[in-house]
Amino acid sequence: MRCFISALTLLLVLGCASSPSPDGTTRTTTILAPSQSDFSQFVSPVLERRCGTLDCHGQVGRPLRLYSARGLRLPNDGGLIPGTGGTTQEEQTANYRAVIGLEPEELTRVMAGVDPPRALLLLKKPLTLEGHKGGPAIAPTNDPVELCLDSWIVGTIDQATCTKAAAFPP
Amino acid sequence: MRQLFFIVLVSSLVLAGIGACGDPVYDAQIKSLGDEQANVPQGEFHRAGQPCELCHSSSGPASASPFTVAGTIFAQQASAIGVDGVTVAMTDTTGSSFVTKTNCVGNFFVRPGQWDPAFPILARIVRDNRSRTMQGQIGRERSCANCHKDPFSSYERLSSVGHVYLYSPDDVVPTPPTCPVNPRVGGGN
Repeated sequence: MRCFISALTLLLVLGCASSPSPDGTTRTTTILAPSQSDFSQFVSPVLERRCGTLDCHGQVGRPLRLYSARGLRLPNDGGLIPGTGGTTQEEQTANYRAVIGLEPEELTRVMAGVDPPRALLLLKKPLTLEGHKGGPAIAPTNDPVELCLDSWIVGTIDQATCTKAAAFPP
Repeated sequence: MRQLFFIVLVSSLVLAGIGACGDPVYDAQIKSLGDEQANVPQGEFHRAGQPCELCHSSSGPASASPFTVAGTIFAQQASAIGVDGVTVAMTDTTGSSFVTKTNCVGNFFVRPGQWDPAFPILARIVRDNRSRTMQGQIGRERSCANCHKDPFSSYERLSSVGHVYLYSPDDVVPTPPTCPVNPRVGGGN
């Protein structure tokens, strides 16, 4: 029954996912995505700390580009360079877009409950379920980073676990 | 017989072609380092402040002398003078630690037989009563200078933290010891 409801939800989502504008000049795709405010407050600090160093995803040429106070900075007028100030709201927004823009269709299926979170590259890569140039970045079981991401994706953010995952050293 | 000769000829040409094709990006990175400095021979004192691992890796031109981690520690943010005798302490993700010291131009390097860390690693530098702990982890970069390079443009300043240094502007920097080469970058000997 649960599968049936999930499949129905997915069909409804995907059925309306891509629709042309009345004049036919633009096409809008609707995706499901987890909370942006939870991301900025709890998830972005985890990814900044664990994935966003200058030698990994804190690089302009890297897929899933991540900005942070201690790594790559978004071009700014405030003179912010790596190691100064905090991560700005604009940088957190850029990180959010990088994450949800990685696989929007798969993310929609995960959000609809059709696929598990581990179907996402966001987890498959650091778990090395798929090739990851940086090697394993998350422990296979009970890693606070995965637990934090899972909680964010399902909409019940685990603040304590995310805070723990963002702590340094982890 | 002629057919066999033709096959061998074509195969040889293809193999020679493959062998001649390097990695142009990698080659350009090495070329960008420039030539050796005059009067500074290849060895532990050369190319201070440059990304060591670029050449000192299994696929680099210095593959006979590979490093697992290497870099240069300078005196101050505004001073590209290498510091001798700085302790570089590193801990990898398994908890394995390694400690080494810089030579008189500030260079340090770790060989595979000494320590081959599992990334990410944490790093700290200490000398006398001064110490600095790296604010982030080293994800997988083996050369300090690939991230810790001195930015030249406002755009590059967004992605570089400048060279690694130990002392604050107000600190009195110890007099460099006698060294076979000048510990100031670009200083020759």
